Amino acid sequence: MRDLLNFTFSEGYYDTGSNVNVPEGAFIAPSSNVVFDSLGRLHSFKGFSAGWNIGGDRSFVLDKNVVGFLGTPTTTGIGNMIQGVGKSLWFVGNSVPAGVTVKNLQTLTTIKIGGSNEATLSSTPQVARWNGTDYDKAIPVGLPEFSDADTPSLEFTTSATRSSGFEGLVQGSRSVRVARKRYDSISMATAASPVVESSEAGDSLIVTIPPTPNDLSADADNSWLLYFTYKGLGSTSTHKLFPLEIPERRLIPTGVGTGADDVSEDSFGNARYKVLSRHLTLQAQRKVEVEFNDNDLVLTEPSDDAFDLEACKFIAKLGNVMCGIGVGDDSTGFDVSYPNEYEAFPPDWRDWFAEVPVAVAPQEDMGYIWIGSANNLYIARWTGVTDGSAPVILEKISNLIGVIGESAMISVNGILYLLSQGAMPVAVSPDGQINTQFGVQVRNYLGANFNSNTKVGWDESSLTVIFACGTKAIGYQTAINKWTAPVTLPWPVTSIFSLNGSAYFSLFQPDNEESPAFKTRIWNAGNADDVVAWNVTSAFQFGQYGRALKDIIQVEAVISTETYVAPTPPSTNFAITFEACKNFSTTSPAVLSSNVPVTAAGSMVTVRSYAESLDYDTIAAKISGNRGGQTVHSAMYTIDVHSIERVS
Amino acid sequence: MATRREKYAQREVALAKAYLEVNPNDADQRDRLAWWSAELGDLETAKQYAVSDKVKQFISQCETS
Repeated sequence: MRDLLNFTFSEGYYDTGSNVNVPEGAFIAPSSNVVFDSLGRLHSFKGFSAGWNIGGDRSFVLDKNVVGFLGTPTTTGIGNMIQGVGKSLWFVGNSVPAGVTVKNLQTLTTIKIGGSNEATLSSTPQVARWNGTDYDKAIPVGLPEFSDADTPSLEFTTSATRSSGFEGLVQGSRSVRVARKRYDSISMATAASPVVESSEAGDSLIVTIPPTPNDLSADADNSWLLYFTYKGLGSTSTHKLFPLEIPERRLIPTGVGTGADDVSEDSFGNARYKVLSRHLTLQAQRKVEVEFNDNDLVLTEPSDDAFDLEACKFIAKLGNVMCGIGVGDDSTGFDVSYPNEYEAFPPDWRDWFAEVPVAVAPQEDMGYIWIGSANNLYIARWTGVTDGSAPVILEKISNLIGVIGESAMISVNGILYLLSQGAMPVAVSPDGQINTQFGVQVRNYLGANFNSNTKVGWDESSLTVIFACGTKAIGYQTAINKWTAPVTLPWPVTSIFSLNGSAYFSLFQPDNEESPAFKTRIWNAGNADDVVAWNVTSAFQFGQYGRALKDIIQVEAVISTETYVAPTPPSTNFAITFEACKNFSTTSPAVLSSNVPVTAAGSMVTVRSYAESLDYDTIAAKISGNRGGQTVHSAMYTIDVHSIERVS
Repeated sequence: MATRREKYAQREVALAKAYLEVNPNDADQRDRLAWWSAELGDLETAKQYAVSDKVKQFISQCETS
């Protein structure tokens, strides 16, 4: 009797632990370190590339070859980091001194933040402006409101005290409000000044400007906006914008500070200002003379309700707003900035999550952000509508699916992939369709090995969503709908990011000779630092009838290997072993043949051997190797079944 | 209940202290800690950390006001 089976691995990896309901051609536990190429042929995991001694607990691609990391080898960093407008760097998280670093992976240089190699991570959101070379010092997102002491004073000049060049255009009762502008943001305006009234037919006004508090922003980045009421309206009407900004550097004594400016006046149409006196900190000495016609005032009212961004868990940019995720005392709020004023947040709008957000997966290019909590899944969706609302709304996608950990979800071309609280892989489309079926075949493996430290990443080159936790990883190959076999990592994974078409793993080496250290490596790209021993065990099994048999098994296989550059001599390693496993025991296989050399691409190897299979119940096929990049194109098993009569 | 200005000042103080843990001699962070401590009324800390003339001037104003 002869059985013949073509074993082409077409069905990928299953971890059901049994051949029941597992299709022929699949391979099952304890198979490991095997991935597929685009045609569905399996090859051994190539291992990691040689890489860099950098990394972090969270990693974020910011710009071309520029990656930001959170955390240090001694303190775990959580939170997130984005690149905002003008290449500014935004970050928020837990409290980790020196917990923020930014690296250029092409030049292998550190991009400094305020002159230092690191910034401090904090639950206070921070932003660092890009200055063309590196980042300025990081400062809190948003400006402080003014204090009562900042209320400006206002007085009219007279024809006798008016500066030359001023014509005396201002009449009637007036008041002024003052607002500070700092590149991306505008502060809440001061309270209105006391009302003053001109005593003559026409005069100019003298306004005092509050001091700039010490928030580490550069003087050159700050300016002041003035808002006046129309003639005769005192402070009872809205204030309208004076058309000229007054730079902070013109209010600083000449020669003091890096931003000082010896220019003191400017004009636009009939509007004019002149700095009368300068001081760093004394408002009474920071005097500006102004005049204008009412029709010079711009029909813009002061942003008297612009707040800074409170402590939060994550930040995300969507459209022309910035979102604070997990704000408020319970970390369940959702704030959205004013459009185009990324550091200014209205106080009268806040949406809420049912529970604390756990993870964020941005998909800004498609107009939404995925936000996951322990039991709920949301989309923050761009609407653009601002009438009485923010231009972003929260939409609950599911109240049954939550995310297992902070890095356990990723949005790939609009589809969210996550590992649920129950350690099930889940795919969700933005219209709310939830797919949990694709992960059923690996749920045992994930349930046994994956926890809140799970990282989910994306490898574009193989179109694979990678689920990793500790030293274990497994990939779902979206183009061919196949799971890889579990892959063993050399060290525990801390984060994954996608760059230049590949998945980059940040790993943590606790037993580094010098000190615990991060490593960054490219997935499935080389042979460095790792053990790529691999094996596949077939789901199909011959037998099942408990016959006392002695079999002859022949294997014809087409296998190949990629050129391997040694760190170790390859001569002993270019081999693939074929075995037959009795009774599905992979620990005591019946060896068909071992150390089959594979010396050139496309080698075809034929093995013919006995399998010691007396008294077997079943026989499964096992193929293994110890080198990356070995490909098994196909393997055909032919079994001659010989019944042998036993002597009792 | 703290005003928003006071809450902001508290965040600035906490941030400055965190940065000074890493680099205790960072003049900008010392100034930042001093300024916002003065705003919160902690003039002793403010005077201890102030570096620049601007911040020292501000602390003097707080003392006399």
